[in-house]
Amino acid sequence: MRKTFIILFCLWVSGLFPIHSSASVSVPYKTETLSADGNVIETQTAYVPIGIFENEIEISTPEHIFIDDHNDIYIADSGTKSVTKFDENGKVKRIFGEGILKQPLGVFVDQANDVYVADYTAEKVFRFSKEGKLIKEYERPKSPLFGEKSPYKPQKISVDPRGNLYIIGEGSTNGIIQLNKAGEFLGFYGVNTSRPTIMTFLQDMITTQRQKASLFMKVPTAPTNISIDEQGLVHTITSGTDWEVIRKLNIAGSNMLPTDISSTKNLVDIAIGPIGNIYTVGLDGKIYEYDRFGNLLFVFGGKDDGLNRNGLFMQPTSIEVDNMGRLFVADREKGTIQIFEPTDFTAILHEGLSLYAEGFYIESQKNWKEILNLNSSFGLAHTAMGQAYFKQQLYDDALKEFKSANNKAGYSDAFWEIRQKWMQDHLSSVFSILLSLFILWSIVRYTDKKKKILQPLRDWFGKMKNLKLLSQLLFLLRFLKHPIDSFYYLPKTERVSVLSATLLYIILFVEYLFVLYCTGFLFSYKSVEDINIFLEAATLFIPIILFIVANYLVSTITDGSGRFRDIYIGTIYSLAPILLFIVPITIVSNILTINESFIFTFSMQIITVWSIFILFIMIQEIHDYKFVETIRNILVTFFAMLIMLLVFFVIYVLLDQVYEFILTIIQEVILRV
Amino acid sequence: MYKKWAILLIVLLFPIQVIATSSSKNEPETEVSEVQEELSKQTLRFSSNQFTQPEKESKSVEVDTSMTNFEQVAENDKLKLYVNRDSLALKIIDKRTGYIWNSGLAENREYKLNDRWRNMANSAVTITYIDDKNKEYVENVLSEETTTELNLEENGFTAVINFKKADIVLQLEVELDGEDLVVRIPESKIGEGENGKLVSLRLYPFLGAVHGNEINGYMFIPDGSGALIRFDENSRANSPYQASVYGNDEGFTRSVDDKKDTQEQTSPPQKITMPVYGIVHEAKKNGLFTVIENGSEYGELIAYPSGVSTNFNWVTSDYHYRYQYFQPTSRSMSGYNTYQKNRNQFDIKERTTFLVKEDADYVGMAKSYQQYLVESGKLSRKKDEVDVRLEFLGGEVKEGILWDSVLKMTSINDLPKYVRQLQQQNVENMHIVYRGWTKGGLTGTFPEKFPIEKELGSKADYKDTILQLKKKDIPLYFYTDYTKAYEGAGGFSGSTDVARKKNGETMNFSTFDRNYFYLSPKDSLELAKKEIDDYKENSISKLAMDTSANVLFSDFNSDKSATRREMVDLYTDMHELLDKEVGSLSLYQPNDYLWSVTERYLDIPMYSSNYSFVTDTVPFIQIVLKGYIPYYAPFSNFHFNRDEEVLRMVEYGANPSFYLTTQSSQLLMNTPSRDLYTSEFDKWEDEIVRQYEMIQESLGEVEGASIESRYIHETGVVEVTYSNGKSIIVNYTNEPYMIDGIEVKAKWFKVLNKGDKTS
Repeated sequence: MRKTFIILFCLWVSGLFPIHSSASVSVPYKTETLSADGNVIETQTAYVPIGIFENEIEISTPEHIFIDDHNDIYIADSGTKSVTKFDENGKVKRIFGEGILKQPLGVFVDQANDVYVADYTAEKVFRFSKEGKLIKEYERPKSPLFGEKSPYKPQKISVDPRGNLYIIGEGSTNGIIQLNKAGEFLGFYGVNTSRPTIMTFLQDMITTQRQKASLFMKVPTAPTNISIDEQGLVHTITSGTDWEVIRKLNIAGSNMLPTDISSTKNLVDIAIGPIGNIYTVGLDGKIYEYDRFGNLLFVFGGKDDGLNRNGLFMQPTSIEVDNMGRLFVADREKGTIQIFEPTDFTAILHEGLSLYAEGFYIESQKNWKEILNLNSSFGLAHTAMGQAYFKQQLYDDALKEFKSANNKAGYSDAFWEIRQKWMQDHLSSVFSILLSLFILWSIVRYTDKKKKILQPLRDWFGKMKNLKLLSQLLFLLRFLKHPIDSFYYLPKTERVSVLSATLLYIILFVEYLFVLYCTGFLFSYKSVEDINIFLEAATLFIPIILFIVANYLVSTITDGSGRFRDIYIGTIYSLAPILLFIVPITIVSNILTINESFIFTFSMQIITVWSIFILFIMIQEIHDYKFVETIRNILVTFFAMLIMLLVFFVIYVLLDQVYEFILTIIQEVILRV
Repeated sequence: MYKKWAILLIVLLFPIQVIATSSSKNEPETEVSEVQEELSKQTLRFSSNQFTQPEKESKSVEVDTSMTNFEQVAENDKLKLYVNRDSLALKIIDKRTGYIWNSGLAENREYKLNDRWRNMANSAVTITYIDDKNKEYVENVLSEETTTELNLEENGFTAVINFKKADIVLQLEVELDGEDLVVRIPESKIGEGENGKLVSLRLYPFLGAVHGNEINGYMFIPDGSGALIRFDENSRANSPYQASVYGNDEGFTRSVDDKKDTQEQTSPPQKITMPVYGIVHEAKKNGLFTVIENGSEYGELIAYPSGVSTNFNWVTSDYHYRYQYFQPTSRSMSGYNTYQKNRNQFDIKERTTFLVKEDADYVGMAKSYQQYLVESGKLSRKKDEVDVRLEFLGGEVKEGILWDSVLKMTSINDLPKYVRQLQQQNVENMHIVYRGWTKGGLTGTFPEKFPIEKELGSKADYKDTILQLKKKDIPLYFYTDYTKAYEGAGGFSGSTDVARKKNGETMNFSTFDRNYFYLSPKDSLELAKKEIDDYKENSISKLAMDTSANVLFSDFNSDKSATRREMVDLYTDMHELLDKEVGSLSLYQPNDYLWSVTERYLDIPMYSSNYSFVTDTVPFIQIVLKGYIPYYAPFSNFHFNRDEEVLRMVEYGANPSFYLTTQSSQLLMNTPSRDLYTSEFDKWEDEIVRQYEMIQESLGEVEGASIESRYIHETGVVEVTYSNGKSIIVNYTNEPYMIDGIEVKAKWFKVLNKGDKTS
């Protein structure tokens, strides 16, 4: 959820992209990567457009590109209704399926150079020999397992090293259609899942297996495109969803990539590069490159703005990588294939990734350092540097890098090591300090008993207690132990006052800011840069104000005896546990690792529940309610809060409309009359 | 997040198989490095349209030589001018070669063209006009109701053209001037009747047009550093080149909101900074080159490659007398399109030079333009020495809880230290541009610049640094801007001092989270006058001017309105004033009318905009400027091909630039300068030294010399010859290149002393 928000935020920010940029403009698009904190940042151009793939014959409607091990290029063209094989210079080597194919949408070439073509209209997959002879036609599977009603509209095709066919068909929501070499149906493979929601969770809880089958379940969308890497792992993309958009399937058909890898809903094709990198292209012309673990490396390209510049697309349909890492992208609307070449910057990154994946952490550091020299905010490079330092037991450096990379797991591990080391080094001195403090304390107490040396301090403390405001503030402490008693005194002015309550509200806000700024890195979910004081004040106080007002209004009509003042004061005094304990917890959070995170979360939960409990008693006491009445009062209060929000919203919209209306009339009058 | 890393960790635990296969642990050879090596050997990049391609073998050219229906109207020792009385089409015979240039189509040939195109091609003038219902029509000289009245003059003719249907009369003047053809449409002679309103006009659009690839040659367009469109049967593009001179007039554009879709991630194409274009029929044989002397502010260059609309390659300028604009009537931006009521007032004057033999290519065009500029006083020799530009970012705005603070990136006192450090490593010549010295940092308080930002140093510190650098003879420029006005900054009023579009909207833009306006040009000038004393008081004597040098718009601010034409004068005055009163100016991509006050040309375009119909990128602007104004490439920080891009600077004669800070650029992540993602001086120091040495070794040999010729030996090997007899051969490829027994190392260059052309 947080990630989605970040991505949305980034999209919003990128909408305000500057017209002027410091970088040179040799390509018409910006290249972006993820920074450490998950923001999108600009970076050096990763791929440069070389131009259009020059070839002898006209390509009219390219649907799919495939490049084999010899760098021969196969293009499925639904306009010419054929598949053409080109060499890398654009010379035609052979044309497949003329007169046979009706609407070829996908092409695949296996190791024996047999050509498989998915034909949508013919509802078949054709297999041609390398000489261009039709060897086999894979028709709709006859197996009862395939199902009578399952559609068979082949769009894309891949073949694994064992010769099994993976067919992406339109509307094939059961998964990829898997056939063996002979054309027998093996089953549906790698069915897509849908995002788990509370509803599906509840449904899972109550329904039995059989009930589930009869229930109307939300059907996940069918995959859009497929690619098989060198190891025979199937990669798919799915458009129209933001859940598991890109999947890398293991033998069992389950996904090995993060589920929230992308929130792009319009991806059309996927390709796997030489080091297992994943390339995808979307309908908006954006090309995304991920490493094999699903970390985003680059985003570049874009929609043609009508100016016909290389590197931008009208309607991309396919992306493919050749053996040297060049990208070929087909554009159906333009009828062209554009070529991109990786830059030196990309080469450094790829080498680093490859070294790193092969276990040469220390060797890869050279590359990561260079990347960071060229872009100091490159998120992935910081993480990799951190891992490398960690492997070399340079925990302080690792800690720094992990923090830059916003990598909590890594940070926690490095911090654990550092803390361990510190404890080993300082344990004796810590104990001796503690011991000496204890001895000192005992001596003071002993002498105090004998000679009363602490009497002046006690006197001073007593005097302070008599100060009205201070005692009013300190009254807070009583709420911890005797909430019911304390609320009895609430209406009496001498114990508490509006002034003391207001002061406490201010303290609450200060503490809230303290929490935002000082919570340990592992437990804070908000970067300090994002903090806007007015927004924070609003998030804290608007619910409180709404609650107080709503509760007052509700209780006046339901015979509550509390005055507005009482609710105002009572609310803040009920938050006593939070007011008192949040600061120490925040401080402690700085020396915890993820292993001990329960200390933090548990204590937070305790003070929250405790506060809610006191709040409940507060309402009961000051309004003089019974238990059931209190619950009813609280529910109605919440309802009232909701209504108030709604009313404010409606008023805002109405005023906006009126303003707009008047403005339009004035404009029209000025311009037209 | 956790999951991702967990998977990463899990996979990392099993690299055993890979380790087993790799031979030695000390020098890991990855698959990637092999692939990369292979790629760099076979790269296609040098044959892409960002490089210049070798010339093709020449073809025999068949030109229409018939002179029927044409009568001779003027002749001088170089050219003969013929005109057709009906269409006013021209034929020009170049007496030096006997080559015939034609402004229309050959009459004895059949083309696949409809009447509309044919008439436009053959007519001298084609206009677009609107009637009283705002409906657009096209008329030309060959239209039925159009009459012409030809009067012969000494060197040519004048013709009054009466577009009766449009109710518009105008006068066309054509004359020979030495080796030039000058065509004019004077503003004073344009008459509009009740119904017709002139919208746009084209003059001899098909002059030099070529059918398909019948002739080897190209069109030249001033896109980026310069670009060529070689003639081909069928262009790979489906739309023509269209670009307004000096960029689109912001006074008529729709507000940014509507453009967002396309602007999101794509950078706009490069702006035209010089109003020129040309055509070459066979390189080194015949070419023509047009400079728009008057009316360029309203000109829009258009170039149609063969295959787009027609089978002809043609290039011309479209002059806009009235712009269409969008008038919103509500906040939700609904509204209607309409035209300007009043005509833009300008004369048109095009000067076309006929180039022959050695001069008939883009180098000849650039030299001809250079000569033209020098003769008309728009270009003069400045000190041209090899040096490196170091821009330092002083302070930048950082949003705070309650108020914005200044993020200190480089204090003024750091500058002498860095200069010393570099000079110890033999980087002798450099100049510094200091950014973000104004109160509030770089994007803080423009247009108001004073007082200086205290975070970066006291007034005394500034004076001290200026003095120290002066002693070392290192010029220190202060970054400034008289066009942008940031929202919330002082020194201007957001309602009366900002420029407005025709439809009444303000011209506002945003960089990340900072919004800014354009100032009314009249206010810019006032402000400059006011601030002269402040500069003097702070001992600032050199300025680097951003934005102002590169924008041109019509301002419809009710009190201070200025047309584009007037803005040229206002801005020229402002720059001249600052140049005279404060000191020399460095300008960022200045438009041609400011070149006379440019001491250094910063951020010179090194590429073209990547149009798919463009076949070559050439250093046109560099050839024009070399030897006159020193120019600097965009920042090397953002290079993606480390070697290639420095070699390009060597080839283009551009000095290197760096954008630097003391602090790590990571701090800038959440500021408006977030696009500066690498800048720490310590990390860039070695690279500065390396690039300086390379440039010194190559361009140091040709200081003050201008470029004489440029030859492409083969794809990726370029030779540039200078006026002092030196020539620089740049080899971009991964293989050494042998030339006359001399080897040019792979990815390196060689300076030869040819000595035969000593000047």
